Amino acid sequence: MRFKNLIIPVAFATSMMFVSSCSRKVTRIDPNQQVDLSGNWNNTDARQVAEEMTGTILNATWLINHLSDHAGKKPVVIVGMVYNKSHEHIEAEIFTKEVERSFIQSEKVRLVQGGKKREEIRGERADQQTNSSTSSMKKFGLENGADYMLQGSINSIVDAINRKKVVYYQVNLELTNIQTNEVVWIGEKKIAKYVKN
Amino acid sequence: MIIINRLKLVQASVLMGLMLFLFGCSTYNQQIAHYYAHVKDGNYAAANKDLDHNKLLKKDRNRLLYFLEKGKTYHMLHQPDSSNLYLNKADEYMEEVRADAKDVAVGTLVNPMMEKYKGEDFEKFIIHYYKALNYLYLNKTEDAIVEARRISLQTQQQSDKFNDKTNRYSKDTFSMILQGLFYEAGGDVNNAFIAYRNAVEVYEKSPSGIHYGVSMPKQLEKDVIRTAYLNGFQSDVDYFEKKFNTQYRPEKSPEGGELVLFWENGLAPVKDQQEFFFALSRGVAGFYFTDGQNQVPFVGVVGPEMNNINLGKFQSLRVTFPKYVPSPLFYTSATASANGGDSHLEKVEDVNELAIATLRQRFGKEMATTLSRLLVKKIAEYTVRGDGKDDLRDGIADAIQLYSLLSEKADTRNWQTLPSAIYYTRIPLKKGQNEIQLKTKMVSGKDETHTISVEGTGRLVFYNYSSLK
Repeated sequence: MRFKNLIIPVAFATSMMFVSSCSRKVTRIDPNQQVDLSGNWNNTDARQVAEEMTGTILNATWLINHLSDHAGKKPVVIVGMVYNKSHEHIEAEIFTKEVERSFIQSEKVRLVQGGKKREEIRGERADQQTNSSTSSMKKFGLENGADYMLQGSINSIVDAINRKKVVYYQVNLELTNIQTNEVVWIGEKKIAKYVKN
Repeated sequence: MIIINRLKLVQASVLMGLMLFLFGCSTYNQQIAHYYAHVKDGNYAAANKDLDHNKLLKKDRNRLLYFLEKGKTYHMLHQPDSSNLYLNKADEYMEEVRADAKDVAVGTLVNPMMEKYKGEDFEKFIIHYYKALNYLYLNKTEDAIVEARRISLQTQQQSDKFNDKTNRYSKDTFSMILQGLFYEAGGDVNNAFIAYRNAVEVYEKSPSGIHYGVSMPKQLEKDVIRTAYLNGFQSDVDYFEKKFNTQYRPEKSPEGGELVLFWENGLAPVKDQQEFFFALSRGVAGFYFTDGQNQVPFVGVVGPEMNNINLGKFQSLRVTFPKYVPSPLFYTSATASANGGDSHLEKVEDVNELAIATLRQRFGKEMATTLSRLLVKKIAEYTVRGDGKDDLRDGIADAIQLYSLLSEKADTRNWQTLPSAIYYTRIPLKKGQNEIQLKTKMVSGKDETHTISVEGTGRLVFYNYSSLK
């Protein structure tokens, strides 16, 4: 019996193992590195929007106008809703946080809390009225009222045929004077991607 | 002569061992019959206990099924924390499991039942339904929203797998509707709108507007318009009003909030195996298999031994392939009554249809692998047999033939305690305790009424009622 005859079928069987065997490998990368995998919204898009918005909002004329109209008193801004009207679930907070951080770091704009966090702060203040000592208890009615509100929207258009797809995102942020309802600044970032499978 | 007899004895023993090892021809459902019977009887405590004594489910290759079944029985026992302990393990397993070399080797040389079970595509979506419900029952809304986000990841993965083709199961509308509901439960009407709108788009692109046995639920039409309105997206309100030929009238939210009631009807189909007889042929593009009706390409690497192959020897390759067998239904429809109003529960996921359709979609690819696996065994047999003049070689070739016959088996595993179909409705609640009457209509025409008590808290709450019969 020539057992080497068995080698061919066994080798043949082994050759059928075309499914690659893989073990998980994790590599840390620079968060600023552009890695596009699926063509969906990713960290590079969020970073580009943040860079565009922070780069323009603090250098725009609304800030100079406010400082001159209010004897150098810094404007107070509250961040409102960024409406997502796109086809994807996009976390706007990733880039709005960057804008907020730029306000605080630049020390040109004062920022007040909004939304659920403000509710939590107010809840804590209410709690202090009964549970904190009189000397440490914080008073009602002394919050800084915002002068401006930052709001925004994310829109998208998808055009696809066969294995080709063009995805267009447009992110707008708008700053509105709460007193006068006047829009004092609009920031815009357009992103277009061509995806081919 | 003595040597040959001894060899034949060894050969017979090996074969006996193989026969015992391969469990004969019983399907997965038959092998877990004891557990399955407890589930059908509604005896979930016994079913749960049974799982821990089931040797088949304890095997490494069936670990996922063990996690899924444990998660499901704990869910039925109203123990959401224990249920999620197992469902999280299952979710993690499905995300990480890959076919390794050993897995492919046993799948090729034995049968696919010996490979690790990696989950059906629709099971990868439905797991989020149970996980999110468990989190909501534990008042962990934020964790339920994490499940909504994980549905997005699963959808991307699925779309990527089938290149977003509409004729493949690349999206799951039920999961998108769930996303919307979970986002709404978390007060995020913006993301809820996106999810509902995405679901509407999938229905619109589906043939005749039916996505795997489900037409667009009226509830979805209402939800997409309502959330568009709540976001202030007037152009979308106008667009959907026109599309659905309706006029939206804003209503005050019910003071007790709303209940999303799911009704899970029947049991998912189980897999059986069917036989096909194929012949190997050589065409212009290479080797292929045919049974007169189907043509399946050969998917292996064509080695030098294939050049001298005698096609006459491969004329009746018996292969087994899984087929779904729907479980008979006890109920046909359901209506919920509460606070003076009635609502009909609409079908939102048809597991029966999904299972059968997705298996049909991958028939070609899986049959090609199955046939190529069988061919490997056949070539081994003929190569060893040679010209048939050597008794020893003949004996070993017979052994390989018997081994091929015994080991050929379809993969009949699936998550069998899923429902056959899921229905849903939204019911306005009053503040405090609400009694909801769920009336299920039996196939015989009789009605059964079940009372469900739900606390109206002013928020969106969830309840799933199962008729796993």
